[in-house]
Amino acid sequence: MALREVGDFAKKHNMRIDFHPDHFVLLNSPKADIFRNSIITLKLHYLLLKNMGINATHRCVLHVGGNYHETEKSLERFVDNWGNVPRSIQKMLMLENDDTSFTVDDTLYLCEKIGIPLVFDYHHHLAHHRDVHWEENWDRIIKTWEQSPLPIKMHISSPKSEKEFRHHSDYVDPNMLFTFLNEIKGSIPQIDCMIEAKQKDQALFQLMEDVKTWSNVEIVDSSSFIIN
Amino acid sequence: MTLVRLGYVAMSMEVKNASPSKTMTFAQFQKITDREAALRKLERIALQNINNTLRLLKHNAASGIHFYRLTSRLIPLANHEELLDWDYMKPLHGLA
Repeated sequence: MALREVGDFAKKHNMRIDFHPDHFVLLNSPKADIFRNSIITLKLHYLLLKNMGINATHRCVLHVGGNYHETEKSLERFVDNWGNVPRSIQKMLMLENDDTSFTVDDTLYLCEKIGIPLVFDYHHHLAHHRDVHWEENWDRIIKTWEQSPLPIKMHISSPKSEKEFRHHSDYVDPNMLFTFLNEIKGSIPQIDCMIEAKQKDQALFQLMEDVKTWSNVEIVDSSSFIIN
Repeated sequence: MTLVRLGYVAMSMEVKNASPSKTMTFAQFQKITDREAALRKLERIALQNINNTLRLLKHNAASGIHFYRLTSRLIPLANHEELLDWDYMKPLHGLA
């Protein structure tokens, strides 16, 4: 009942809710017990969603995993291990590019190969890329969402400092979001941007205050706007 | 034109005493001599986390927020190797 209430409330209020299982989930691990435990953890997420009454499709974003000093091999191991992931869990998953091991190109390779959506993490991209021009991959990223019942989703966060570039800062630098959105506007009807910032919902409200100063937006409500 | 919706992760800076990820370490669990009582305590924490999640969703709705990431730590010690006999989902979904 408790979980059901959460799901019912989210559905009633058209609220998109999802998960990001932690870094112990390593689907590309060469170790059988780590892979098995990863599946057990993912099964828990699946059961939570199921008992909430929420369709689990594309509700869990993961990192690709470890690169074990061999990126190519690690990507292929993900593909090999994918065959052992139960179908119901496969349908739940999305992949995001990370800040140390797998660039957006690496992650796109996987997403295209196994047919799951890519969650673009802009901050991670700036920290780890082969080619800084992510825009050139944007059409491919959109395509990974074509079969999804949900709108495309991305992660936005800002570096804490030059020295601590990979850490999340308290708030989101509005210029980062501005740059990203102006590049992709018009390419999809809707995009959901998950803010990863220490100040949480206050970072969201502050970002909306910043967005209000942009000349090419129409504010829809406290967390949404249209960019032209 | 593109509609943009912003979301945030797990904790709210505005809703007080609403942690969705309260936990208990295995060391603390072991200190409770009555194992059944200890399991019930884990279940109470899980229910508290879920109720707090509902509070946070209500805060989101009232604040016009439509996108939210849940914590993965709703159920303390779920899938712990020493607790494989514990059916942690049972108290959370009623008879469903």
